[in-house]
Amino acid sequence: MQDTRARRSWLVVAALGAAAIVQPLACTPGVTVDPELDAAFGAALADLAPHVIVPALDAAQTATATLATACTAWAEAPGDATARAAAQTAWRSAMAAWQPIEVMQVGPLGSALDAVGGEGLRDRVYSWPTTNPCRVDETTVDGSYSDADFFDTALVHVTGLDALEVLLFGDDTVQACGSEDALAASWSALGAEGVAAARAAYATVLADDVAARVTLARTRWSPDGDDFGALMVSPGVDGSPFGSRHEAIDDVFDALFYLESTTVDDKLARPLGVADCDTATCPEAVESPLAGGSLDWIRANLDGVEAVFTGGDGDGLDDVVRSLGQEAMVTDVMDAIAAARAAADAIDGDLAAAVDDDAADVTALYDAVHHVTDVLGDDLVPLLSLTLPSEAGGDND
Amino acid sequence: MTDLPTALLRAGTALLAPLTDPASRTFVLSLGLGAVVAASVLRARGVAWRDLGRAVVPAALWTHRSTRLDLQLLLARRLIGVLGAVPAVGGTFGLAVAVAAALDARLGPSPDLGVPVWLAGVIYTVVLFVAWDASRYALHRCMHTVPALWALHQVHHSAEVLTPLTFHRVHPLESALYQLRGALVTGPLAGLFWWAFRGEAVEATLLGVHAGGFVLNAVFGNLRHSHVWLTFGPRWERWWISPAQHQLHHGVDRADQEVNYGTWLAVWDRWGGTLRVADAPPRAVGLADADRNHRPDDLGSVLVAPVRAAVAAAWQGLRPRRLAMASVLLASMARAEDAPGEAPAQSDPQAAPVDTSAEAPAVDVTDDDALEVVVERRGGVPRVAGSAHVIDEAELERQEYDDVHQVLARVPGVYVRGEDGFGLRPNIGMRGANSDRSAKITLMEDGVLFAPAPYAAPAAYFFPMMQRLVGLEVFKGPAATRFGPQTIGGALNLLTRPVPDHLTGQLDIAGGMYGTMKAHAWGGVGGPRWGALVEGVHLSTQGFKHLPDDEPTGFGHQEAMVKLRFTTDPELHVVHAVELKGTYTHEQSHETYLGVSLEDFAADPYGRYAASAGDVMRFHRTGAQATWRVDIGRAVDVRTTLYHHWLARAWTKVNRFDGGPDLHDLLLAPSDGLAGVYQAVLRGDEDSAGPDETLLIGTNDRTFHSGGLQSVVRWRASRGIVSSQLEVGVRLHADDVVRVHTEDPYVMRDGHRERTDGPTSTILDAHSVAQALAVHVHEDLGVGPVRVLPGVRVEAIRSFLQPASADPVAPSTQVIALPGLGVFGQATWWLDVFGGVYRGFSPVAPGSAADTRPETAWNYEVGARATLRHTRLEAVGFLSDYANITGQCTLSGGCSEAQLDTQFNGGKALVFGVEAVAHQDVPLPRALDLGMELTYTYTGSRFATSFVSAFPQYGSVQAGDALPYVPVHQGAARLVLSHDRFHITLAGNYRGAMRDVAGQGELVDTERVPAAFTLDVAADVALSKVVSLYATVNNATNAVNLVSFRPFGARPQAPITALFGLKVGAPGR
Repeated sequence: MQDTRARRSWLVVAALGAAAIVQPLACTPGVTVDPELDAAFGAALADLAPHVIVPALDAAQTATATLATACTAWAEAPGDATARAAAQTAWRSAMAAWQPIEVMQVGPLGSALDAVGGEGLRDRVYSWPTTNPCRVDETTVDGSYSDADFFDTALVHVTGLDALEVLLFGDDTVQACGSEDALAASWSALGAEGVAAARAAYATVLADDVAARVTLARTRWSPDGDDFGALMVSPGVDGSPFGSRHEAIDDVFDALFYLESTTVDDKLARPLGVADCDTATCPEAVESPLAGGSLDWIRANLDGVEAVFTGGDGDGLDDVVRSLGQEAMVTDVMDAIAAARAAADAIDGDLAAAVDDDAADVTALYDAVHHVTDVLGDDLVPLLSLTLPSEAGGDND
Repeated sequence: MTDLPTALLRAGTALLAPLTDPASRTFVLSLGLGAVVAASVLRARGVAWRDLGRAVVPAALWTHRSTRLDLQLLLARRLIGVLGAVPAVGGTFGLAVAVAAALDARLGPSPDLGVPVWLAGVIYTVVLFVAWDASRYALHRCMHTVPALWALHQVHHSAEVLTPLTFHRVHPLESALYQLRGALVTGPLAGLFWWAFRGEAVEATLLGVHAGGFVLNAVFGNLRHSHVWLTFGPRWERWWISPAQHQLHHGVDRADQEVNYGTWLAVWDRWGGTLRVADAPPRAVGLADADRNHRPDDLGSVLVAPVRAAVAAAWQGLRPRRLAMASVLLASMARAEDAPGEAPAQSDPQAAPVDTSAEAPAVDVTDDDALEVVVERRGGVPRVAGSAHVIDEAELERQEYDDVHQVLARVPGVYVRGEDGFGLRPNIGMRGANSDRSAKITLMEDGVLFAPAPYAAPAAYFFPMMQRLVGLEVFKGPAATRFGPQTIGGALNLLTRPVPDHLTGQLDIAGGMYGTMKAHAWGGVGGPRWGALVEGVHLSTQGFKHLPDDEPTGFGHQEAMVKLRFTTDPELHVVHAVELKGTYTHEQSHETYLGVSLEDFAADPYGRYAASAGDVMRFHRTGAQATWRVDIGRAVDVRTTLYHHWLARAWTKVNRFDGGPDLHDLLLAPSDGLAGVYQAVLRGDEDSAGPDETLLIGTNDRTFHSGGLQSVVRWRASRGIVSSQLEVGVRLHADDVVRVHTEDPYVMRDGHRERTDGPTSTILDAHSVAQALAVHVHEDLGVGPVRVLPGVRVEAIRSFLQPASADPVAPSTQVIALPGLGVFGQATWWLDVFGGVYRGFSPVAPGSAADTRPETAWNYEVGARATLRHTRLEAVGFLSDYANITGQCTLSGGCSEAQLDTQFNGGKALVFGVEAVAHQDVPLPRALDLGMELTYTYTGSRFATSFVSAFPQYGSVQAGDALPYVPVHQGAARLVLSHDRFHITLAGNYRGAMRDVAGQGELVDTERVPAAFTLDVAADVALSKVVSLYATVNNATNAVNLVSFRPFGARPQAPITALFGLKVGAPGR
């Protein structure tokens, strides 16, 4: 009897041991994360596509389709100033619609260089500050834009809205490669009318491509399409390139820092002469030197940041921050965005002129935008890095 | 899909967690230490040596029904635990965040308290310990005094015998309560300290666990639940709870159970009036039948009955006076402070504990605890505590390799990462230690550190030329602790030619593909009392890569060595020998950090980008050392070496785009989007447009000094079957590096880079200094066929960084003791078994962030070696359990200037694997001999935690990720046909795919360094006694192998390279 009991007892031990082995085999290895925080990440990520990115792409899709139509109309009458002006207006609308998306370079919109799931779609729509007006002019003259494989071989600095600015707003009598360049002769030979015709034709090709890329981006993000947002919400499932929701949230945060790396450093610091400028100021370094509107684009960047942070009318990063009990930080971010917007509104006229005429206000804008990223980077990100000490097991623990 | 090794590892880890988790009381090291303490106690009480094993581990205890239930409950809780643990951990985190956030909201960011980081860490460590201990006392007392809780806690007390497993005999609901307690204490404290010190307060840990708790657990923890009665004496037991006091608490009498609730500190019991010194053992442990609510031998009853009883007790107890229990408890604690001497009722002091006597029933004690050590039997390597591998002169001569990567490729457990295709700046790792610039292994030439600055900047920008070497020794396992400072992976010792005792010399001239020219000459003269040697090497090549305008991509490398030796009369009892050695090295290589994109690699693997034309590395190095050796008979020898090395180098190369993307990321990206533009600029296909496309060409100018004095004393003695060799070594060392790094702006114009008018920027001007005292003691004690090799290494390091334009960074001091133990046994005449354990270390580089911790790991190895007449088989399993694995930044590893040579914590990690060697000699007719060898290394690695690191090769790490640049599979095969007049060697090396960054699961192209196979062929023939010819064909199949994505972009292994040479003079290398 005693033996039987002991044997049964050891059988129980063996069965439990086997179960203890099988259990972890059956489970997906997980990172120990705070479930509440993970849930907040999930809610923000779930709403990112339907409430923020897709609506922004919808607006861009409409605007770029209009731009494509306007360019086609201009190409049919290259000498018609009205048609060109209509195309210019459509370009401005497209830029205004696109600029909020600049801070949403996540997933397929992001660069293959540094975004998880990046396809570089943004670069084909708009590659500023990587631009090359000289190459645009060369392409205008050599006509390669009409080749069937043009977009397979063309670099991004001869495509997209940045190249379209040169085509739509450039002086048809001046090329960007300099008078010593080989282009000078062929440019002169083409004449202003020829240049306008070539530019209009080239613009049509580019505008169609931009509209198509925006449509593709929308498909990638749309819940009815490829639904990239779902992959962010469900890391570890087949097809998701993310290891965790935290990693996905990191990518969203990283995208917001466009505001620092591009809006502050490129759009403001260079024209102001703070960086990469050999003279007191460099007004020619503004984002849209030919078309103007650079201040509007900065405002639109701020709109994009606010949309991502608040999640539009859904859950956003602000709700993640609130879940950490940091309501004050949410207020700080929103106040900083509002202050930056007010600083932009305080500048009269165009940014290129203001860097010389109204440097104090431009500097105030520079500081205000910089402050937005300070609040995001110095307060929010470190809070997520908090770690816990490991207690040695004591009795009954 | 989980791969099989991962699945098995995960399953094993889950089952063995109570033994392998350092936080567990029954962590294997804690069990071992507890056994040692128990044995010491019992021995002091007169237990005979022969009975000691049975006395420490009595069979009756471990087969007792009570112990079986302990085990059942442990396993049951393993199943249930997952459900409870995750919310608890998550709740702790949430609580910590909430507290930090609330403090931030109410008080704003914490003021600068001016508390040094180390002091903050000490405070945090102490506060955590006290808070945890106090909360355990409070809850434990409630478990006894609140009826519903006592119903659950009975499970723990129903143990009829005490073994370390009794620690796990806890009802799952009680376990959940204790986890909740941990969360409620840890969370707020973590949040408070995070807020107060902004994450800079880091508690002291051992193996990742709170140091205080870990040490106490390891030394005394397992004796609390044991039959070994260990008291601290009445005076100390007023402050610390002894194991005996806890055993008293397990007494069967209620009076025993109501005292000594504390875990470590006795003050809680003292203040609470529940302290009792361990005056006598309880008459028995367990619960009286009448007190028990469950059957103690039935798992179902143990799980269910206490819950039922707890519910009933709670129902009964829903009265105000019961609900006020907690406040009564606190009040009684306050009152009891006035009555410290009050003792509860005593049990019979004469009664011996039932079933727990040290004179427990007899059991056969096996001696299977023996670990073991390698005894190296070839090439004059001394007997060492761990794996050792020797490549001797004959082997080096047969292969005529010029690249150390090729030489080491067949050594199991050693990983190499190519960079320039020539091995000019080798990347060698061992057993998972990062291979970046060989900075994580100890590099020596003739036993002297030769890295430019082994402590301050260990990256091996200099490496001795292979032609000058006559042997290589690779030390892994416990053997590595004789050398330092890098002791986790292992040590590599290069042997140069000894001074001859007669007139001899050799000239070796060779030429081959890609304009390769080699000239190597050495000559020596000497006698028994003196000798001199002069040696020189020249190696140059035009390089196998090509630039658009055929600019140079090769190198020229020269090295010279002079040695002088003087010896007193060797017939005397005491013999003195002095050897002076001087070396000079010069290199000019047209090397670059810049590889190519994956697409360009596929199209032209040996092409280089126009942007790298003009990149060049130049260095000069001098080395001087004087060695004085004293031999006193055959028993003692003392070897003392004074050494100094100087190295000045400047490497001008493409650093980055002024504002563009990181070059490493850029060259892994497809060529569309922005990447296409920047890649086109690098190729020279596009001119730079805009400031972001400005190329910054950096010149890293560095001067290193390294010098020191080291002495090793060996004392040998033997009597009968007992032998001993004691080695004591001391090294006083200092090194430094002055770094002046500048950048010049260039633009790409018409396919060539052109200097702009922009100014030269100084991006780094700093002086790093390290001073170190290292002492090691190693004993090799042999008793018959068994050898035991204990040892310890102590490193004391002081280092600091002095930026030219800023205040010096406060010096940091590290002192660490690195114990090790190896055991070797000759099981039969043909079979040796061995094993070892040691603590490995890699120091923190000067200038690293304040929270950077040194790299430390407990390393284990166990193996066996069969040696028959023509056959040798060897297999070694190894495991490195990193408490903190670090990444050390080099520019070549993808780091920025600001990160240079700093280190980054990678937290806990496991590296494990198997090394195997099979060697067979086949004697053939006509004086021919065929040697065959297969080597294989399996290496698994796992990070234990998830984190984001600024170290590029770690990046965003998830728990379970594998280490970068560690191939899972690696193997080599060699066939050597030998004759007195000739040799033919075929060597095939396979290296499995490696990750470019930490990760897990399927490898994507941009993170996969693909598997590579290389076949090398070598042959030599002696035309006479003094003239021989040789030929080598490396990469004979002309395989296109990608070897690395570091520093920037894809880099190729050298294509097929044939070399033909003539040697005149003495045989040998």
